[in-house]
Amino acid sequence: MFSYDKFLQFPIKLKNKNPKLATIIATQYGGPNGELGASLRYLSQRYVMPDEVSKAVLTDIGTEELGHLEMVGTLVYQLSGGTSGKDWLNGNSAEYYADNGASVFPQSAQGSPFTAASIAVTGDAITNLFEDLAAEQKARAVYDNILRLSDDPDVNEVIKFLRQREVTHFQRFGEALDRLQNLKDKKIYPASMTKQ
Amino acid sequence: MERNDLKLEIQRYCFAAHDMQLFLDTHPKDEKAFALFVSLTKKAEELKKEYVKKYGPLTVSDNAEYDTYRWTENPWPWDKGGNA
Repeated sequence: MFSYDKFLQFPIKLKNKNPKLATIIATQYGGPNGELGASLRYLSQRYVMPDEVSKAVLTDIGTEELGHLEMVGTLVYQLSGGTSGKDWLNGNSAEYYADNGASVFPQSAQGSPFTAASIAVTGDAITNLFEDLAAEQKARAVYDNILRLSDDPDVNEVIKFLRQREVTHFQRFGEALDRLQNLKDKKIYPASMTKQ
Repeated sequence: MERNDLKLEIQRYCFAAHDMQLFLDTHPKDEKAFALFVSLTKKAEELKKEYVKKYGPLTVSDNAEYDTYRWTENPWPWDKGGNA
């Protein structure tokens, strides 16, 4: 089960409001490469993983992603909380405001609401881990895109932290995959595809 | 330590311990990493105890330390005053 810690993994204290940037960053809340999809992907894949290491890695990274979901939500909230409709009109982001007001909603930067169609859970351990490696790179690339779109140093400090976590997760998933492919005990993972 | 400075220290140690946790998931026999995980976790727990005593609950079970229900107290993590 899960319990809640009443603090963020990394502190967030923004000074400036920026509704447009909020709608861009919201894509890492509920977009195709965002933290909600990441946590659902890993926490759903883990049930049928054959070895202890993969079960642990997927559980622990999936849990951390829920913490990142809270961090991205905090960014969107602090960038937009308390702003007026006029602020959103001036910031060219009235479409988001029309549906959600100045609040936090899981959608892509282009306005598509969150969909599990952007994640895959196949039941094949090797395929799952390759999906996870790709997912971490895609999330890292989107954080890089956001860094090129944002000139708010308080925001960018947080985005750089989240970006670095994708790199670390990629490393851990790679180790889990390597271990699975080289397992001597074929009873644990007997499928023919232990080597790609 | 002031409330948010202490919280920042907790965030630091909890994050470092968590990062070691992920490393240990794929290197469970690494003794040096395990020793570091233990020391980071102990330091984090120590700091959390101090925070709970001085400022309020960090988990709902911390609330058993008080005479009244304080879990709902502001600030929440996304609130502006909630971070150093």
